[in-house]
Amino acid sequence: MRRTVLILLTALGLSAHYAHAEVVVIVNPEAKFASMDEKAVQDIYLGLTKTLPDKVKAVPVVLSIEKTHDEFLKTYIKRTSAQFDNLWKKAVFSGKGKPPQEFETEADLIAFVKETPGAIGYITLSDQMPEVKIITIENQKKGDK
Amino acid sequence: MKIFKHTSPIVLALSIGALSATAADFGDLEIHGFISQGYVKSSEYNYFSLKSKEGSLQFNEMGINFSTELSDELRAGIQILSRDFGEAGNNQVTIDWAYGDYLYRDWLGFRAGRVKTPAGLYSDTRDIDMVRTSIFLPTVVYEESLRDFHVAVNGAEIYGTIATDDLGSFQYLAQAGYSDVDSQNSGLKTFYAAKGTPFDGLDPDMTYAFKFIWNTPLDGLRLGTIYKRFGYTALGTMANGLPTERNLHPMNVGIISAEYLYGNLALAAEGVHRRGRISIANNNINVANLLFEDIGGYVSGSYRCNDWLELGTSYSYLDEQLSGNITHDIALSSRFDLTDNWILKFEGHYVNGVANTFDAPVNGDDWLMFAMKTTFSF
Repeated sequence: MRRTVLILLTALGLSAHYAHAEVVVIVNPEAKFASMDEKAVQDIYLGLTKTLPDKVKAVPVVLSIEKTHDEFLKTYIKRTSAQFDNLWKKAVFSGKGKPPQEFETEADLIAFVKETPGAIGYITLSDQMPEVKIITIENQKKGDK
Repeated sequence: MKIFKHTSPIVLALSIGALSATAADFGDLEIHGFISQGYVKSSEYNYFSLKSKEGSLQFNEMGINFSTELSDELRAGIQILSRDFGEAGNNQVTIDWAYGDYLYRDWLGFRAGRVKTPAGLYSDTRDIDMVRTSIFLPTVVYEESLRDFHVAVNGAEIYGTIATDDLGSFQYLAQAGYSDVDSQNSGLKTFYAAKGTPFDGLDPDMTYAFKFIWNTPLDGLRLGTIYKRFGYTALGTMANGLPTERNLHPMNVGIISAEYLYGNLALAAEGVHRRGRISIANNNINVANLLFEDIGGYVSGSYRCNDWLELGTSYSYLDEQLSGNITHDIALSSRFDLTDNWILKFEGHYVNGVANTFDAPVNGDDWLMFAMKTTFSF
């Protein structure tokens, strides 16, 4: 049953973004939502908001794998890697935030997201579905909703 | 405290670098820092209190901060800063910011302590060289000579972000507090010294500041506005031993801002309007009242060419209506990322006007300034 749900969610995700990106957004399996607006994802990764749609404190994480990280930033956050790094340096040196935790491998990131309530991250799409929730990212401007 | 007074920034940088090439994280305590050394050379006039006509190395910054999350809602941190800028700063160690931060909801948070004062889109990070292309932020908005006065207040603020479905998000901040400067090393002392006015200390009025930013639905575009009201009495002693005062009656500052990020291109524009009244009293006898009004602004652009090179340019304009001075400043900047933690910058200015100097006559000649700066951060 769980596997079926995951496949279904993956299919939903494909309809929104897979056509132009192979990076998918994942959240902790206990999350009480199946989709997020792209702006909401941006707000979390840019440090503007700190809660997920189910009101749980967001714990955003990133990959140090350059290709996947850059694709995620370009597709969902609309920032370059340099702009994203600068933004979090500003937060760190003005005392207003802590940058997202960084993982060297997708397996490590998935393990963290699976175990951490509120965790949100991203991975590349593969045939092996991880035991985390893949969510649909809706882009209102493109009418994907 | 003079712990950095006679220590080369380069030696300190190497020491810090030996400790860690990346941010230190001791459990829940995060530690970050930076250290910069710059050089400024100008043609006709000195750049503020720097002896830049001769070429000046009295231009460095060092900072270290400690922060921790005490709970999901509560953060606390402190940044210690040492800075030298000609006759200002003199590498005395000061508290740049230090506050507790309680975020009740995304739309309502509260900070108290020594908090950064809004004075433009980039005022929170004006000490942080590694987050921008240029060496100097446009001084028309970010007054370099009075940086220590404008950088923070001892007080409190409320803030928040309100996200909407269709209109993007809105950030707000309302703040009140008192400026606190190191009288002997303040930029204010150099500012008044340039006018031949003694400066012994500052009696500040309450500063109020309000900031509003709209992160528009158009990706990368944000618009902002700031209103700030402040005043003070600058205290001094004349050569005859009698007291003199410069009273800056509440000064009103309005700033409008726009920033647009598109791919590797970053564009920004800000306009400023300042209006206030100064009264001068010698031995408690009022001798002068002056009304002044400044209008100015800048446009800037920068482009990230690749992993290691960023280029930028800016044009700024300031009309000081009391003195009649009008200043135009065109700048070209380049930034080289030598490593993830180490950058090198070069910058040239062509200036028509005297707003950025202390020693130029009214309507002085056109002049040039060259600056270079290197920063290590972790």
